[in-house]
Amino acid sequence: MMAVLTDKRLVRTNANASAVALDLIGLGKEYDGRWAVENLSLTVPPGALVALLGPSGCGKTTTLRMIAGLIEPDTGDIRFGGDSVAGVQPERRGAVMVFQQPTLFSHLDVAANVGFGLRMRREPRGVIAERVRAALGQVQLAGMERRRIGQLSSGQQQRVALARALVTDPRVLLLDEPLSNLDPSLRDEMRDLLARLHAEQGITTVLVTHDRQEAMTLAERIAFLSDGRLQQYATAPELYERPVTVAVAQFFGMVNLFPASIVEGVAETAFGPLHLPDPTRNLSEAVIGIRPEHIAIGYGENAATGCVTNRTYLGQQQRVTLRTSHGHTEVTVLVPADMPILINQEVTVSLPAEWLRVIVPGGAATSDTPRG
Amino acid sequence: MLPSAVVSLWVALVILPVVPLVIWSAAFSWRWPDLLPTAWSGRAWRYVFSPTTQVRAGLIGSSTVALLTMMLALAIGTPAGIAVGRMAFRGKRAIELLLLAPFIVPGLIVTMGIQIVFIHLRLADTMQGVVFAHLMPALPYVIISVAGVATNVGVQVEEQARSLGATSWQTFIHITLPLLRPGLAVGGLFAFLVSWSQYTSTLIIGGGKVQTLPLLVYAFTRSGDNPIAAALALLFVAPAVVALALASRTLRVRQSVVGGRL
Repeated sequence: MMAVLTDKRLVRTNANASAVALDLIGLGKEYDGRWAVENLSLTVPPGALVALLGPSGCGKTTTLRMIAGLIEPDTGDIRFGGDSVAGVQPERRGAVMVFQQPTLFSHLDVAANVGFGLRMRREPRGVIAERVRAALGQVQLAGMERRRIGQLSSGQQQRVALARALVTDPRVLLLDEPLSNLDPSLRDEMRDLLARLHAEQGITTVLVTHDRQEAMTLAERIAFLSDGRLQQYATAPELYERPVTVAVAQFFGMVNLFPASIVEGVAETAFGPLHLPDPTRNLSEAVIGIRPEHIAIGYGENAATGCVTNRTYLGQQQRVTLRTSHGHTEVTVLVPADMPILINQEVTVSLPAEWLRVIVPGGAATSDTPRG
Repeated sequence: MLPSAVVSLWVALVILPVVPLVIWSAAFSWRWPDLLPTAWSGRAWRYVFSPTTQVRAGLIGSSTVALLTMMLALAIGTPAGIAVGRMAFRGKRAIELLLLAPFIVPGLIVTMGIQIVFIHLRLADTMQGVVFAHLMPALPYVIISVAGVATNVGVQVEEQARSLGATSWQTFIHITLPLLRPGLAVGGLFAFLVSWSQYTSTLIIGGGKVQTLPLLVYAFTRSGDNPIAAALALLFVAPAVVALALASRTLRVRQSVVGGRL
């Protein structure tokens, strides 16, 4: 089971040979002179689960609705398995949406909700009943066929919505924040269910979320969007450790960001000169980033002294903010909770070169596609 | 649990006015200052149920006109109600105000204008003409009640249906209409009752060619035949009471089933 969960790619090819790739090519949508989504290109490999991640208003839901065919893009093209779906009605795309709210049909019972898509396709009654039964079993709602929607808990409603989507055997599954309306305990349960169903069925899936934990645990690759633009399309560790834009760095918690100019492997910043690990080309404008947990207390590489301005207890750790004596720039450090540190105390910190990241302006992904 | 004041008001406004009608319909002679009629008779009710009188024509006329009006009002008013309830468009406030116009402008004035137009359109003195004339006061009830429900039903449930593979027509039939049903029931009922109780427009546009119950009631009231007028009036009120009771029942059942979660 571990092997199954860790290597999704392997399972995917075994589980669903008919899965299609999803291509977004130069996709754009303009509202009132503002681009909600601008020149977005990315490829979701067949059977993969990719997350569109970003703060609210970044264009991720707009993108999802364009894939579903609920709104028409102003520029670009969408392809399912290589075929353009431009102008294809939503019901003919085979891209099924699961909304944040379960959006169940309250005048129908559970079985009629789950069987809705099959009934619209005029599948025989027997086939529908059988597949509805199987789908309800998959989401652990076996035997609930005759329940009314109002009798279900919110977690059950969301699982009915999921079963209703899966039973139609969609070419592309679109999940619009499906967990954010649930209580935290239910959320974990539902997330595991989503992961398991995806591993079993291998449907090409796009998950929209603003929760980076959700994206990192469910998705093979994450497309980070900000201001309607794709910032970076990569795996979770890459986004976490090697952000290519300031927006990505900030979203993933790389809070120490110093504007810099780089000459011969040394970055001039307000913190002081920072020696970089790799030979770096000279840049007049760049940003040097380092995660708080990678900063060490005490003398070492790239050290500076500052005065503690703030400390926050986080359980195992405490977050300490200090202001450097030279340059008066703020540095945030994560240290063990039992380390005795007082406000206004003088502390020396060092920034190990191996953890320094150079963020180059204009580094946002433009036509990034997964390798392999 | 109705508060007793509401019950008293209900009795005073609805039940009490009906009591003299019931007595009159069975009276032979009832003169001032007698508290009750001095002589009783079944003549009025025999007349009302006799197949040889105009009552049957009036009943058929009223039912036909009211049903046609209701169906047309639903057919036209439902899409309009959905638009008013859901969409934001230029001039929406003006349209909402215009919808209230039939409640504000006296029916007689409108009917005079309509008559002139209908004469040109050869709709005067026809049942179609009467139905169209009734449609005008009936339509706003359908539009307003459908708009109220449509606002709550929302677009997302339709998008969900489309995304699951339903065509726009299938979505309308299987999702939108059933969810709009409370609004359709109320609007349809009101449209029926508005048409059912029209007098002036039926008289003027129908030109006496279209017979309905209110015209008969008025005729007998004017001729001073109170027993028959009273019996007709009771017959006239009956469907309204039945329809209202039925509608409030179905609406209550639906609400409890839906559970308030749309």
